Amino acid sequence: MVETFLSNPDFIKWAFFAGKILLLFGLAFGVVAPVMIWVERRVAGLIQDRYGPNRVGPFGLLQSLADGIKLLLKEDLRPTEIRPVFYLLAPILSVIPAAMAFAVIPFGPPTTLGGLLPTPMRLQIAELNVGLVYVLAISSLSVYAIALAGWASNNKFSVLGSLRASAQMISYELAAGLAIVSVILLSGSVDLMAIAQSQTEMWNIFPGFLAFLVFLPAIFAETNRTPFDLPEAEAELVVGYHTEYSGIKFGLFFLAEYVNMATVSALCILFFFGGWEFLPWLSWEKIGVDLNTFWFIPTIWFFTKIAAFLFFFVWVRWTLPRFRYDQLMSIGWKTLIPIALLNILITTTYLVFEKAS
Amino acid sequence: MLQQSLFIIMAALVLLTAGLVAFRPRPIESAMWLILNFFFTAGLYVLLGSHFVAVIQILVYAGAIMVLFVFVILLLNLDPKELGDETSLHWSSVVMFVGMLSFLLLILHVAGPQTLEPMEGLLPDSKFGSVEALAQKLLTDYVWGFELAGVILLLAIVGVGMLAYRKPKPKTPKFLDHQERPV
Repeated sequence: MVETFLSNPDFIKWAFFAGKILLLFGLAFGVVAPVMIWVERRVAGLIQDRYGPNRVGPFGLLQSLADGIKLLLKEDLRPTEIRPVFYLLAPILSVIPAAMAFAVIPFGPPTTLGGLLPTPMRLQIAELNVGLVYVLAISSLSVYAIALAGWASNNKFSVLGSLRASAQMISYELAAGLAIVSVILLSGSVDLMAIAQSQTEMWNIFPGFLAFLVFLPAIFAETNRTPFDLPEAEAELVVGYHTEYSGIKFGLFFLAEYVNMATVSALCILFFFGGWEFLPWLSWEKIGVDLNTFWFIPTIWFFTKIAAFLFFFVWVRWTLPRFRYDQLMSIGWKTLIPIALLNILITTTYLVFEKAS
Repeated sequence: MLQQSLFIIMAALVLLTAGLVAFRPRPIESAMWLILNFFFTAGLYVLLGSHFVAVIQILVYAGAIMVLFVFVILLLNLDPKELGDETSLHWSSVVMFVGMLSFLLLILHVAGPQTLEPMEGLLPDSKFGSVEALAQKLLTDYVWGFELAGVILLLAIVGVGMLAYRKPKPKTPKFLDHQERPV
């Protein structure tokens, strides 16, 4: 009775579905974010020739856990002059888009988990055939969290920070969107899975190098990271839009930032670096890896690539100084967007000639 | 069956949020309800099998146009006295949260193993609403309208540029104290 139930294909499908949701969201919020905070602080120490957190647990690995517990248990300070509803709403609105965007990232080719599943299924929380446009749409929603946070806090620093952040995110969204157009042209699809699979022969980074050059600064600006971290510019604005937030509300902003970082790193790898493929001209099939039995190898390789990219994020943060605000705007509007437009022209020409030959 | 119940829930929420947009006293609240309204409308598009239109709805309306609206409202910073007292509306944030969560659930459900097929006889064929089908229509049957819309938008951009452009003032040379002045 129990065995027939367990081997029922519908049950296996649903169990797989529930399992991947729990696993991937758990991974994003429970592992990636805390470990990245630890990595960020340790690498900062390394680069600035000091230790960083090294007391709690082995190599200080449990520091994030301790900080998380502290943030949860901390008194929930609420300034008197805030707009209460929107003050509460802002951190929630920053986490939800982060989770929604993360939900469409595919983490490997469709697989049967080594024959466990009756039909191949995707290692992706939500199988959307317009994943790329969906990610763009959802990431444009995170502006609300920042705008509302700054406004509801009723604090000069917060308002300045949130205005800066919103203008910056709107400007660089355009550059990122235009850069992605050439990725769509090269891969011929807006399905993230199909984009990754179209790169078995050649990664998009080679014909789309210019697009990558535009996309990279744009995602740094989108996630409000150095050298574009003007919204937080602690030397000028305390910490910008979340100045008035304490306890777990601040924690939510922090969490969303790191999940967003993981999402954009994954996107960058899916768009330009062949997703889970092994090396530029060397797919897993070519070097003779049997993906039916070793289905987990591409996924692990994909996670390795994401980790490398996240390290790059941290490395840049502790190496480059911050831009001035007028520099930021002129880079976005006068450099990146024209390059991206030109690149669409170059990409289409390339594709026409490639088709002809 | 499932589609019908989902449709009824979505449609009711669209109407409810639209009502709230009209009747809330403070503009910022109305704006937030309107954003939620766009989400539920997008949900209706998903039920029609048009995922692309649904996503574009969120991208353009919720992600771009409403951002501008919210900005204008926040920057106008109306006197709270003009708008009546700030009633505690914690439930509205709860509804907002539940709304976005239910949208996520809908997405998950559409993507889940038990795929949500559009209602029988409603759609001409299975490709309806996909990016390919939409692009095919736009760039063949409706190419003139499509191009015309593009030109109009371009004109609007150029017009805004014309309106916002100010002639730069002739530069007067300025010298800092530590710089040597030409003799």
